[in-house]
Amino acid sequence: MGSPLKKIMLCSSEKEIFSVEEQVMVQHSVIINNMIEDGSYNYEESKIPLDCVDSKTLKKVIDYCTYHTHHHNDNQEDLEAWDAQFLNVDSNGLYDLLMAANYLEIRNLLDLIYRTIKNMIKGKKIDEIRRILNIKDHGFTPEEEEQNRKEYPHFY
Amino acid sequence: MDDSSVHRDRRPEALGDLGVLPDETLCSILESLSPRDVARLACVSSVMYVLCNEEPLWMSLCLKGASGLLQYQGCWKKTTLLHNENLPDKYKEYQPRPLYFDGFNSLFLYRRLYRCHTTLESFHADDGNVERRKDLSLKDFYDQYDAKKPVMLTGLAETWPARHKWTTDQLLQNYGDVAFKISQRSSRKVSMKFKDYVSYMEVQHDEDPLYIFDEKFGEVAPSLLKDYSVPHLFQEDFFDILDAEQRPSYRWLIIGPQRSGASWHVDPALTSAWNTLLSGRKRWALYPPGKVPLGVTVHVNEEDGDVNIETPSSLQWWLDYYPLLPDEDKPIECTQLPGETIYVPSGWWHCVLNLETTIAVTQNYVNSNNFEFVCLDMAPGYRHKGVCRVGWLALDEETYENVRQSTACYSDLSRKEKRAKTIKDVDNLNSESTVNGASRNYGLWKDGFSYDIEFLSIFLDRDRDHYLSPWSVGNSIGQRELREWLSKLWIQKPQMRELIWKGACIALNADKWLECASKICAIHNLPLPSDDERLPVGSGSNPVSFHSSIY
Repeated sequence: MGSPLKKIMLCSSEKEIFSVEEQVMVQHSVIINNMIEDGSYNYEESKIPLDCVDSKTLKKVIDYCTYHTHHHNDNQEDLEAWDAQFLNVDSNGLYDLLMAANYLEIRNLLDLIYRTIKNMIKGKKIDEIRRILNIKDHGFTPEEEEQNRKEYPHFY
Repeated sequence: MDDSSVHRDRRPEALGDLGVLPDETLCSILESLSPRDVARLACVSSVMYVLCNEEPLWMSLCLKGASGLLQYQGCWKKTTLLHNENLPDKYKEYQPRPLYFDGFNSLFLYRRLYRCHTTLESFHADDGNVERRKDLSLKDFYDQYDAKKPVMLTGLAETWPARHKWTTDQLLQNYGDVAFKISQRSSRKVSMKFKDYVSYMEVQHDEDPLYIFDEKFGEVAPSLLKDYSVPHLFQEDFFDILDAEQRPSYRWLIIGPQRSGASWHVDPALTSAWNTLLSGRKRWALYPPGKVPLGVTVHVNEEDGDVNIETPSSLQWWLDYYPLLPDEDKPIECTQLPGETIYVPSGWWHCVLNLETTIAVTQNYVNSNNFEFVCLDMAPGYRHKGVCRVGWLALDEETYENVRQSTACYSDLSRKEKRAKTIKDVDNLNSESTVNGASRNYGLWKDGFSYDIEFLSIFLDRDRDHYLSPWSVGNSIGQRELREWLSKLWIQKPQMRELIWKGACIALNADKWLECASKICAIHNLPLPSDDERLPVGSGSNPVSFHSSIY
């Protein structure tokens, strides 16, 4: 467990440096926790390079971890409202966050994004899902598509 | 097929915005969806069709929702749609009409498919580190192996009827309609009729197939109990003193096809176990207590000491992690043949992979040699539970330093160096050939970590009170039952009082309670608790209720 005042440096794909309370990242990110634990992070010299996370996304990730570190005692409703507001981003932003959360192994953020995607498509008709996911070419032949419509009319 | 379609990558267009995600992430998103949304997504695009018809996905969806009697329908998708009561009937009219698409390749899906179709006939290994013994006397077993190190015993089952009766065919004849419990990752209770299970075994290509792991087989098929007997080496079991409904689960019937098997674990409550194989071959890997295997994470709940282990499946461990280990870090290994009995001592990590369809019976026990460890594991608190399983890694820096100084038998390595060393620093189990030397080696494997009750007791939380502490649901018996068990042993095994008192001091702080009781008695001018009344019992609502003369 990191000490509260220590800071660590994270470096985005644009080489922008973010200084974050160690504890915030250690509590949320499995891989950063492991780096600190096994001593491979040097407080004087190291910065953790996150080549697949851009600055905009990294800032969001840090916001999420910081908020959840300092507000983990808030009531569930308030936290959910904050999360909903937090994930009010366009789909690119959502998938960038997903990739970052996946890379850094931030499990609660991953779960949150999975739930969001789940809700995006839950109970929707096929054509709606295609629109939501921005699928340009479904890739079925006309015969296959016709067959699907015949077999699963309730999906369309 | 014209040339353009051969080279076309259909993935980006067929996945739309989700196309930025790697296949592995997509597949885990799909696993979090409901069966009906997955069924619907399969019609959204060709690549979605491929991803949403993956059998491993449907196996996971099915087991997440399944409970009760499961009947496999030849594939997991069909099984899910039929078994899942929450789905409207229209979803159940599932008729597979497989479609095939060019222009989509996935290394992730390919590797998984490879694992699902791996055959293991030639996957056996034996490094000779588990000794094979025949005709071992009880004294030699206690002196050399019990609660010390594993051993493979031959010839213990020669006279058992199970030796020739426990084959798939014969069990099928006699127990085809009996429902056995199935082991799986989620906590839901699933069972299968044996005939359904056998047809599942024959057709499935699962990476981590379902296997029968039934502690109630003696109730659903009592005649199976007549087919074997507890070998003379393992007769003593302190849990025998409890009634059948009170004692923790202790015997299991285990049946599974190749690729199935129990992933890395330490047996519950630090009991020891024997496992006799009647049919097929099992590959075993073992590490001494405190040496957590690569790829395995242990979580110990700081409130109630509940232990939770995160581990890859047995097959995945052998394929993906085992090759990364340098020779000196490899576990000790052996391949168990039909008729052989392996002994697994208290606290030892082990992992089993069935190389073909196997049928086995196993029992866990507590005897005089592991009794104190079992008591330790039932003591309130969490630190000692972590230390027993993962050694020094369970401690934070400060505790580690304190213990290091107080026991003062360590080198001057910094903790950082020690952590790095844990990866590399396992005894060369081969090098010790003398029996005593070897067992010493197993117990004391690095930096003074020792699977020794005096040493491990340092990590008990003496301020925790067993009456008031939260009790983990993972513990094999309840708090009240624990007190009852110890006091029954106390009364019924007077010749073992020294040992039982030690265990009660570890589990219940019995010495502290006796001291309190004696003080109370002195104040009220009551006679001191008699010898038979020395252990705390009851629910703790009245802290002096153990003292009969108060009434």
